[in-house]
Amino acid sequence: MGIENFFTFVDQNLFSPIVHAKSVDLTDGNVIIDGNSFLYFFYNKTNTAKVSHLTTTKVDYDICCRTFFYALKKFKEKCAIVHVVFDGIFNRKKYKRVRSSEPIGSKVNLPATLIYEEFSSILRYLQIPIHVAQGEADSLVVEMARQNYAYIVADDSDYHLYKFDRGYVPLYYFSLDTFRGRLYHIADIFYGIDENGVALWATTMAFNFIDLDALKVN
Amino acid sequence: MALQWNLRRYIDNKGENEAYNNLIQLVPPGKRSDFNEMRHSFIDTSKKSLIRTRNGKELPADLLSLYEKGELDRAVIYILNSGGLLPQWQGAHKEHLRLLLPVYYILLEWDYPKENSELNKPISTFKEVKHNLPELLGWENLPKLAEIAQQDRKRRKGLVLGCVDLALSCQSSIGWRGIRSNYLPWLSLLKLWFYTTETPASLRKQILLAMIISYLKYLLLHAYDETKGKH
Repeated sequence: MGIENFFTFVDQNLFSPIVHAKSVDLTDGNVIIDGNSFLYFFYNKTNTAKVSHLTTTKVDYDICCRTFFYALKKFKEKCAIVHVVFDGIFNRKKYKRVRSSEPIGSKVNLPATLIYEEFSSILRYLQIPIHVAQGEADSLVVEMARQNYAYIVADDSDYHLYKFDRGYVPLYYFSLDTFRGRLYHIADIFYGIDENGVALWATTMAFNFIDLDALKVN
Repeated sequence: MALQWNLRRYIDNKGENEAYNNLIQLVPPGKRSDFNEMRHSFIDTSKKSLIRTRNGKELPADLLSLYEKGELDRAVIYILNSGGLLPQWQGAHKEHLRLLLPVYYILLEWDYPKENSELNKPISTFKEVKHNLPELLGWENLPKLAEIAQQDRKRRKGLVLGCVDLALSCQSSIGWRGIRSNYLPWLSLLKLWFYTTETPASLRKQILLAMIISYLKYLLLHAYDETKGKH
């Protein structure tokens, strides 16, 4: 989904240098990974490095796949349970607020299909179970996290909006080497408001049901 | 971002119920049930929204279970769900699209009830080009979706080969005699690649040779190599 600036909201406003976020070691933990988010995160990481001009391809598949393999292998070896969930088919645009920073009609740079195929074959090779949601992955990821008493690992601030026991571990702050990262629960961000209130807040902010100007008046 | 803070404080101050009552007033009446549905989806994640076909049918169980395990490309489900074929595809070669036409037809055919004459309306529009489906495919013996599940490997390969041949039909054909039918699909795909790839012509031949050599190496290792499994 993506609420505009939500990541900044959480990161810079709520966790000043004085108050530190909780830290967690995922070793021996149960983990549900948002597949698309995980893929984009590592894909972008390898792609911001200089792209070779010697080949005709725009993406260095080898480095990308090695990164995927290294990361996924770590999770497979260190976690008790790990599952990967992918998005299904759904209409992204319906009701969603257009982000003011994106020019109208811009095409998002999606990774090539082969990257997804490689990612999937690595998962199969490592024998990590794959699940594809019927719609957007978020609900299925949270549902599985609840059922498996698991952490959620992804690079999507939307996971701050759900209530579940173990908590959300953003990839941005996670180290593959130490296997530690920051841990967030819904109460950390939205203290004092129960999950109904958060759901209300989220639905209002993320979608265009309510006109923003009308909202400002309130 | 100030708005996010303010809204949060507002909900905190007024309490969830009152805030909800006030906010829902700002939602156009027609969209209120959607608003509520979205709101609930944050809390109750167990509700599964089932994908249905364009005609409201439930998806075939075996396709659905392959899809949920990640073994079936979501484009197939997308075809059944909306009748569209690769809407975000930006390629330049219509041969690539023709490759998929038989599959597209088989899927659509499954979805339509027999009495519906819409399928007899054979024009279908992709990327502003009209295609007359049955005429184009020219096959009366395209298998039905249910039959494919039961077909053996050989017949399935035959279907793939047929798709590739269709895609290549505007190119001159190579004499395929003397080539074992096992390799035909792969070679045909190579040919398709060769004609439609965007790599510069200077590199094309080298890449083609490299692919052929890699494949031969793979075959030989597979058949004769004594070391287990490493590749």
